[in-house]
Amino acid sequence: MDKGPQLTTQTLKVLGSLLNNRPDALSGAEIARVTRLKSGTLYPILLRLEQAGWLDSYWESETPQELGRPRRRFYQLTAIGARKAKSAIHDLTSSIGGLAWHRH
Amino acid sequence: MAQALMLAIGGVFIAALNQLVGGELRARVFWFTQRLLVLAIRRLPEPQQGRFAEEWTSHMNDIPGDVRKVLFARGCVGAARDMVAFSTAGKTNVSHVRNRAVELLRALKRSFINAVKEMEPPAKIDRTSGRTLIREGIRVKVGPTRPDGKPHPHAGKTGWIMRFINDQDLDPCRLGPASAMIRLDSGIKRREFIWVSLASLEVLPESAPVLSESAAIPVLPESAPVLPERASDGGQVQI
Repeated sequence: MDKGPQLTTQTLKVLGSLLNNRPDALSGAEIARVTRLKSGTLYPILLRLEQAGWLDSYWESETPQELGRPRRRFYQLTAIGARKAKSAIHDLTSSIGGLAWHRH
Repeated sequence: MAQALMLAIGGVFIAALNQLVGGELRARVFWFTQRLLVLAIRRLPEPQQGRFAEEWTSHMNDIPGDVRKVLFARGCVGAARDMVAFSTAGKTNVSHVRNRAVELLRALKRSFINAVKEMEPPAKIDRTSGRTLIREGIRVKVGPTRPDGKPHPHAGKTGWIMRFINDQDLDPCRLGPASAMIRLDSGIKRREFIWVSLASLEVLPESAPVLSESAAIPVLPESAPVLPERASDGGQVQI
């Protein structure tokens, strides 16, 4: 059985940022800006999610010569990734809600 | 008035210095971040190097401020380490295989030495010819062919390799010709590791064949040192 990526707080932040911008794709720099994650944390998460099939990535369509700079790579949730991300975030929020309910 | 003039000259001087040092510092920072990125990229598996070289350079260009660029590049080094760790999870780790092969070799040698120690009497020396006559040994099953399908250079059709020991070879580092099958030099390969790990040991029975000059089994060269004569042997050959 495929266990899928480990859903840490940082992973959920990345998934959340991509979900909020769906269907638009975000570059690594944009995701870092939104999530405030450092490169050392962000890129392993992106690669894990991509290898798990939750994310899809692609280069900017223009060439570096046309752009005059290196190309950005954009990340986008796949259909399965979006479904699983929504489910994971829903599970998290419902469990937090449940805890809050038990307190009262 | 003079003070104002001095301040103005000082201001111009400081501005010029700042420009000079600032430019130098920026060049240094650029060089340093590039070095860090190169270090990070080299750590990655080869198929991913091109992708992340471009992606990280692009990301770094979007970051304002030299200090933040350095921190980003530093983070990439850590990221590369983590990415390698899970990219290679479940795949063959060459150093791990090498260590495992060394462990197996040690275990093999221990088994061999223990087996030989239990054998009495040890190998005898033919004093008349000066030849070492070997009687005891173990045999190691390696299969008639190697995992790559080629015939094993030492094993016969039965797939067994004979491993012998004589009085001089009680040193665990000297197992005779068959030890050459486990190459501990830099040329060790994965298939050799598998080959060794499949080997099994079997102590030869008492009726083990006596080796002769014509035996196909590797025999120690004639130049092998001859042990001092034993009192119990009386200089006679005992086989």
